[in-house]
Amino acid sequence: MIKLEGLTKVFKGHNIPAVKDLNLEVNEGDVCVLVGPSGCGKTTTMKMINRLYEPTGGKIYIRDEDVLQMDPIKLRLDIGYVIQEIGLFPHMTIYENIATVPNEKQWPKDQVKEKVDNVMSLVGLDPDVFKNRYPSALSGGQRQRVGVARAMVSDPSIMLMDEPFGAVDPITRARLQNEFLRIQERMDKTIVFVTHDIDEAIKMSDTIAVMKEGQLVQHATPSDLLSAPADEFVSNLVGRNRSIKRLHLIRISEILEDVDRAPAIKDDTKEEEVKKRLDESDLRTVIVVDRDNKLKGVVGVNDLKRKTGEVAGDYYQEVSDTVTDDATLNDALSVMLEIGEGYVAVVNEDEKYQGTITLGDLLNVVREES
Amino acid sequence: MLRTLWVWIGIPLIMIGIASAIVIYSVNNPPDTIVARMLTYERIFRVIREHMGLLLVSMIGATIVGVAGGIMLSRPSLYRIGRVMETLVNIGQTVPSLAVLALFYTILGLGFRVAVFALFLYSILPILRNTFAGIDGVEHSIIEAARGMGMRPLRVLTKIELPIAFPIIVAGLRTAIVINVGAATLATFIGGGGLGDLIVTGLSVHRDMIIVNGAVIAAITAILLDYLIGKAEERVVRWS
Amino acid sequence: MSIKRLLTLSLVLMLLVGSLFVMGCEPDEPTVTVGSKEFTEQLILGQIALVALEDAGIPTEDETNLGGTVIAREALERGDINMYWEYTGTALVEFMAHEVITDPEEAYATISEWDQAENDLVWLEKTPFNNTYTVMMRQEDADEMGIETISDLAEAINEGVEAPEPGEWTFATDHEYEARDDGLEQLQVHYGFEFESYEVMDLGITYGALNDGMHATAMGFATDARIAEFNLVNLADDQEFHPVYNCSPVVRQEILDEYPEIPDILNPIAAALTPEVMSSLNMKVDLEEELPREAAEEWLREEGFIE
Repeated sequence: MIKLEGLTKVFKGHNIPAVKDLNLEVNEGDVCVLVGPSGCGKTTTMKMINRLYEPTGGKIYIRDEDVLQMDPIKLRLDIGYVIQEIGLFPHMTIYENIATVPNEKQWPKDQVKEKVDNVMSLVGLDPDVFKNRYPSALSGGQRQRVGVARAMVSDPSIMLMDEPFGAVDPITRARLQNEFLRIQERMDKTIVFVTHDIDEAIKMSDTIAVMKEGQLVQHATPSDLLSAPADEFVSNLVGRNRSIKRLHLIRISEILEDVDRAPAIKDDTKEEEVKKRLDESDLRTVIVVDRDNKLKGVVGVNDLKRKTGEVAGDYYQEVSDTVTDDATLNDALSVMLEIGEGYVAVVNEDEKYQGTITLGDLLNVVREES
Repeated sequence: MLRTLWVWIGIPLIMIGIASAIVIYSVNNPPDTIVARMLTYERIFRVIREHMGLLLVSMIGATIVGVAGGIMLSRPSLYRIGRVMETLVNIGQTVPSLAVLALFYTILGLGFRVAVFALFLYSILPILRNTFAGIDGVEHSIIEAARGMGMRPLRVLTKIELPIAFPIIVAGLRTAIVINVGAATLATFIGGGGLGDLIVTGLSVHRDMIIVNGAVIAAITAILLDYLIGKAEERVVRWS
Repeated sequence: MSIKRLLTLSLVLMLLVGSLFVMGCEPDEPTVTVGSKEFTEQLILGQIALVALEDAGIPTEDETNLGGTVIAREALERGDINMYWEYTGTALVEFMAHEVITDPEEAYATISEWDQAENDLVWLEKTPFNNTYTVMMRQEDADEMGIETISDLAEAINEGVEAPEPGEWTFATDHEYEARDDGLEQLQVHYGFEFESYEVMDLGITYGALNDGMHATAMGFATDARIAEFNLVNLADDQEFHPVYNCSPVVRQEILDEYPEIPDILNPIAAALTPEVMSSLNMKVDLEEELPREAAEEWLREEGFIE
């Protein structure tokens, strides 16, 4: 889909090339993450793809078409672009911001409106609430969403993302990453993604291209990168705790079906049954859900002793945090450490209970993988 | 609705009313023949007309040249010159307006047109500087996002850079107008007419009433114009 | 009494005795102290008097450049100075509180009689120059059209004579002259004519505006240096519209008693001070940066008043 051949960039007034003889191929529907320390040429490489920088040498092909022969304006209109500082236009409403590319392409008004509404819902912004606001009235996370929505609104098959989740706190970042992966699963776009964070690279990517001093060091799947780093630079980059990094690679949903654990109880369960289930449980706790399988909380042995009602719904404890099933095992680990428990409840998008995973489950995975 | 009416008609009318009251009182109650000679409706309307002429012609010219110049200097090819220009303008601004007027008198001679030209050059400075600074101040990431999404340079200028710089450009315009109303009272020294006629005459014959008429009308003109432009800007710029 | 106070007292006493001694040593001949106001014309006039008196062997003291009118007059009345040059119009209005007079002879007679009677001050011969408002033209235009007086100008305008550059009978005036009761409006009424248009500007540039051909006529002050510099001409105020400001040496009676020859020395000099002379003297000091004393000496020598 995207092919870089011998790509070189020397900036005016510099002797050392910022990018040197770079060869890289990104397959259709893949997320290719360019990763490396700052100044390694990853952003420069990305900006050559939509010709914000003109290459000094080499070729760029998109679907076998020579990018350097194309009108750069047309090229850019067909490539979604998200940058680290987001670059929202402060004088335009969220609607106008997102409608930028369709307006540049002069789509009919009602089509623009429909697409903007769709893409806003897609990134989790209620159009009725946010449409007419100005960027200054949004939180950091909301702005990032607008940035992504703006890049996706015209359905480009290719997207360039330069540290798109860089400007928010780690928790918001993890949520945005998960949401984006969920969207990407459906959209199947070809994405070149730049980051300096190896964890983010492992989590987001189909392939990782490690760069150093303007050159490509290794291009591999995250799994291969972890198990077979090409040289010391790459192995330093991925770090010593590679086993833990593997947790980035696996979604909770992937292991949930293999976990054999007692099902949750309904909130109208009587004491005797609760007691029985508690005895069976390896966690000394059981999860309580309502009639619609929505997570209510958890009941432990002590809760039963101090019970204040007849059914489980009367004396369960609320859980402090959960993970969604599309989160990675690493996210699950983070939450467990955060709440100080050896387990965490998993819910889906609609807050429905999916299961529980434990530290033991994570250990098993790590053991199997290595 | 009532508020709009008050803002756009009520407050301006009050200001004009104050000035009118002073003028009407002075014209009808001159303490001596000198004041009577200098303060007639005909003469007052004439100097107001001359003053507005000085102001409008020089401001329209200065706005066109200042904004266009500021845009040109902010383009990458001229950007270095723009930075130098910014410094020069700041120095130029420290030259007293009377000196500018005197300079153009020695070069071009007397009269309304010379005064307009001097005022025009003097008013370009804040407009040019603010236009350049306003565009220069647009965050780089915003421009990069616009270019990266496929906007042509001209579109980036008209849709992104100028609207974002707009409040700063308007601030320059307001500065220029307030300076201009004041500086235009000096036009009288080189035969340019205007409200300065009243002020300088009043000073030279020691008649405070004549001075007050000229000064109050000039001050209210400046306040009113600044106020109206400020209100108009509030209506246009809703995002900051 | 402390030693300190004693010392102070003895010091004061010593100074008193010492100064008495010095005064006692003064020569018998009294000195003529000449004062002046602070502007160029006054400095030159003061120096003219000083140089002429010295040349006649009278001991003098230079107290020129005192300050404004009030300061110079008070110095004269107190006897700090013995003489300075004053303008008839100024003295009439400011000291005598008389109304404005536009006839030079009448003004001179009125003020000199009053000052002699009231203050023992003698007004010597007045100058022909009259430092008042003047209506000016360019010398060559005036010569060409035979215009010498304001009446001539009025006649030319009324008869529709073609105006010199800029082609219209225009007039450059300062703000004060436009507003004054004895200014532009009444000038035209008095002489019975009307300028085609006039332009109000700073006093400093009316001369230049006339010289550069931006106006056909202009107002100014009759002895300004720029009249000589630009070769302009004052049109005579033949119908005596403007108040008069001829200049005279005003001298204390007692010093005239000591030196009765002073009028004989200064009167012919004053009589020679025409507007053209005064303007060119002003020009030498203002524009050619001569010292007032140099200009005074040079002129007195040229005219044969001194050796």
